[in-house]
Amino acid sequence: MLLGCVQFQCGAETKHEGIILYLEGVVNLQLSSKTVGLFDAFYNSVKPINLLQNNLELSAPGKLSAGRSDIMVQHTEAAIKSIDMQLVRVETCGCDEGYSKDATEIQTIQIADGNVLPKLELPIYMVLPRLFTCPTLLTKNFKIEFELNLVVVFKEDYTVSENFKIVFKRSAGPLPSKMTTAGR
Amino acid sequence: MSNLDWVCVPRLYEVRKNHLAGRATLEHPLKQQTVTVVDINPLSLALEGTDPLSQFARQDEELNDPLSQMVSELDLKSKRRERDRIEPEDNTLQWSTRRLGILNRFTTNEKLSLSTSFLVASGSLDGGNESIKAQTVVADKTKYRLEQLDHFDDGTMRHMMDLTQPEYIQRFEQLKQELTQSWHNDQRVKALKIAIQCAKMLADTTVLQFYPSQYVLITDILDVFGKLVYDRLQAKASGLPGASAATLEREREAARDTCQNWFYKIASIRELLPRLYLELSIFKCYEFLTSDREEYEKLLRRLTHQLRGIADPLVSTYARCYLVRMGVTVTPSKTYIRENFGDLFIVYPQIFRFVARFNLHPEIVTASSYLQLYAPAFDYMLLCLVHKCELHTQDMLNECKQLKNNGAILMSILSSFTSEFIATNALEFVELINTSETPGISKSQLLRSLGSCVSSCAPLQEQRVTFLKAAFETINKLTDPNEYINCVETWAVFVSQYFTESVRVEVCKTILTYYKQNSEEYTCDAVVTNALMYLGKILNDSVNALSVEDERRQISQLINVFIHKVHFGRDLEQQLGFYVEARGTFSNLDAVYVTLVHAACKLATRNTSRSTGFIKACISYCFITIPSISAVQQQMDLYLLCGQLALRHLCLGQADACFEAALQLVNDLPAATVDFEGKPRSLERYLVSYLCNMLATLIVVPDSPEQGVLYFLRLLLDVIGKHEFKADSTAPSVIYLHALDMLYVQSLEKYPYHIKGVVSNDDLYGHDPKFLAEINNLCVQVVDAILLQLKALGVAHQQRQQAELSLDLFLRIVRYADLERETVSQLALNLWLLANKSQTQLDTKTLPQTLRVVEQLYKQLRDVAPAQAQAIAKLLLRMRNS
Repeated sequence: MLLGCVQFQCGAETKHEGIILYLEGVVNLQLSSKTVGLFDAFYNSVKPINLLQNNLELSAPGKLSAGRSDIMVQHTEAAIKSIDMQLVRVETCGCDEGYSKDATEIQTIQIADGNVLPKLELPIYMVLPRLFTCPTLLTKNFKIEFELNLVVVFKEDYTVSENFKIVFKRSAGPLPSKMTTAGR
Repeated sequence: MSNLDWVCVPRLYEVRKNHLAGRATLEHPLKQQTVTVVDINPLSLALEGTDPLSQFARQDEELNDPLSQMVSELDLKSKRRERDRIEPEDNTLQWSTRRLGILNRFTTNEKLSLSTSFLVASGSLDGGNESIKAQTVVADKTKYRLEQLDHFDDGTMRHMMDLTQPEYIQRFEQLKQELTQSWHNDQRVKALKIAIQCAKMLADTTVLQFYPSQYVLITDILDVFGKLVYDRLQAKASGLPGASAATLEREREAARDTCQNWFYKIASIRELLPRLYLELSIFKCYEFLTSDREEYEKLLRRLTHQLRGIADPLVSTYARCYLVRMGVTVTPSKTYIRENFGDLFIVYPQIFRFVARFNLHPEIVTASSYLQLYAPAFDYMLLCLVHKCELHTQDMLNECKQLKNNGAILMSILSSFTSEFIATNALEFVELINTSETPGISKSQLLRSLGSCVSSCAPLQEQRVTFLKAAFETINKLTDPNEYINCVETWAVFVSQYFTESVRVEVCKTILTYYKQNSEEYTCDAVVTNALMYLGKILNDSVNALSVEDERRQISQLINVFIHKVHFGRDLEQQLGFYVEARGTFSNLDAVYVTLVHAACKLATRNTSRSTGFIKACISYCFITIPSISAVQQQMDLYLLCGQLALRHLCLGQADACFEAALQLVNDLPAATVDFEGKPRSLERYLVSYLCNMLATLIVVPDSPEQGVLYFLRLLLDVIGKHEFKADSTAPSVIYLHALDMLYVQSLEKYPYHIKGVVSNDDLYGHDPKFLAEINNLCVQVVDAILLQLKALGVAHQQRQQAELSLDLFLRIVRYADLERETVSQLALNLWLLANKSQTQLDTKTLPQTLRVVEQLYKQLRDVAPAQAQAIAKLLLRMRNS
């Protein structure tokens, strides 16, 4: 079994002609000092032999939506007081008869404090709390999903928020696993 | 003719004084002269009264004098430059050297507030808490008690209001101790909470002008926290001594986990600013997680980007400064610093939106002081950017050029970039400054900074003149004299170091001329005074034996104007100190010395204390200064002036010394001097009037017990006797005639004038016959001397002069001497006859008038002194008969 994840990094929406994964297995004869004389006759005549050739279409032609890691204020008439990110865990369990859904706020952090300048890229960066997060889990009777609310608080506490579904996957690294990317 | 039997007669008639009509005026009639005559006019000195009101106004100004602020900045800067040279380079970027400067520079009288939940224990100490207690109602009381039970709970934030600056600083000191103590008591979470609360307070900009200091205080605490965390992890990772390799590996793994936990903990802080500050404070701990330098760089760049979320430009600038502060300790890379500046330049216009607001509301903070708040952060970050790396210098300069309102950043570039770089791009810089129009940053500030840069490292030889011209194009447009001088001060050093003497002198002259024309007020500003002193010294040193007289005069005049403008108000000692310094500095210029003597004399008259100590000091100053002046005439004048001043203030010994010195100089006086048109002008008339002045003064000078009777008069006669006058000169006879006048006054019972407090000879001798006998003897000597003159005139066939002189003497004899003595009476008659011989040479009215005077005298004395009148009548009879 070969498992993997393909990651694209593109700041803007990108067109593509399909995403295909190619697999190729080739065997080749090589001589070592111990077998000198044994295979010499073959050596020059044996070509590499193709054992495996497969391809897998990952995606049909289409567009890759912009995977941004930052947000930008385009224009605002009311002064912004704060921009917050709220991480929410949604647990669903049940069967065909009925599902029960439970959403829990896990962590809220501020990414902008005060009336930030428009056209300035503000990075979206949150270290996931290890005790309250896990890779997104989807089974027939049980689901753990995550959502991100982007909350913009204006002066006089007028609030606008937008919800994004996000998928967590596990990766290993030297530093605390840290990234979550919200698409827009 | 020493057989003359001269006896002075008492004056029995009244001397009438014809007073001039006076008229009240607001304008001093001689005022015009003070503007034009600066050299030697003693009157100009008398006109420089100090208005006490304007003095107060000035003192007020001094309190928040921006110049003194600049001085401290300059000190800081020059100290830093010095340090750059002396100490190992590695210390340059150390923050500790700067923090004290910031704390001293950014202070406030406003009340500060502080929010924390950790200072309850010390509640009894602070007023803020007391006032909360006093105001609590019953419901609050319960709450207050609960808080006390559980005062480390997050919910119990205390807001300490109305703290003075020292109180505020003290609170932070307490918080720091609390933090350290908690840490050592294994209450690490509490320590972290304290650090977070402190970092939160960095978002508070209520008292703007204190923000840089607030930043220093709070980051001090964060530094302490960071060090505690790091040291503990370090101790954990290195394990116990002698541990096996496996144990050590386990320990290291454990330290790594702990470290990661710290970062997790901090990453969950809700608010952006404290989260970033806290991560930065333990940034060094990343070394337990990675040894990859590039990883640090990535982290720093990520934090840089996150900082964009801080909207307040001041808060975000200082946060960036903290980032750079931490960054330089882990990586020599400059890329992230450059990126911070990239972001800063985007936010930069925002700063000027605040500036525009403060321009309208200067009561909050002035635009200029608001911009000053950024300086320490900008300076430090720029220094870090260019330290040991020239990768970004040019590119920063270019970016700065594109920037609107670039003054603030330009100012920091000038103070942080190497002098070499600034010198290389000097022309660009001066152009940039000339075109810079930044509200809150004046061109003079920038030029001053540039001036000090090029003083330590000059631009290329061939660029210097162009450069200097370009700079002065703007400097000369400055309208505020103090601003001008402050700016020029640094340039003077540059000019004096790198230019030929003629350019140097020209520049100094231009500056001083500007100062002369544009500043009306007095100054006591040390910076201005030092700057002008420095310029004056250059000019003074440029004068030598070959200098043209006109050059000398010009320079002296400029320096004199400067000396007149320096005024320390009531601090007379300091004023005299300044004159002493000036004397040491301007040793080549007579005219300046003359001014200094006059100034010191004037200073003496301003003394209000009862003791004569200060006056004596002033006169001593003059007495020492005068001999250094080369013109004998000026020396004599000044000695006489000082003598009179000393006399006026009852310093008799010093007065005597001055008069003696003056008289000793008479025979050194040249016969003639050259006037402005180059023609020789005889000094005899001067000498005559000078000695008359002297004689008039000597009337009230009491005899010193150490010298004989009328010592100074004898000395004067002796000096005149030895003096070489022109042949046929009437000068000696005029002096003798006045000496006779003086002697006669000495013989009177009461002198016509006195100086208050000085016991003159009339009171000293009380009309003692011995004293009178001495006077009579001297009179005979003087008359003898005049007769010799008469004889000489006769030999030279100067009939008219002879006749006039004999009439002058005749009149004096008639008035002063006892005509009952036959020799005297005979002498008078002979003189009359001698005058009559040359009747044709004289004015026709002269002889009849003289006769009338004698007749009048007879009438005046007829009743009061019949014997005397009788003698006069006898003489009149003989005169008419002849």
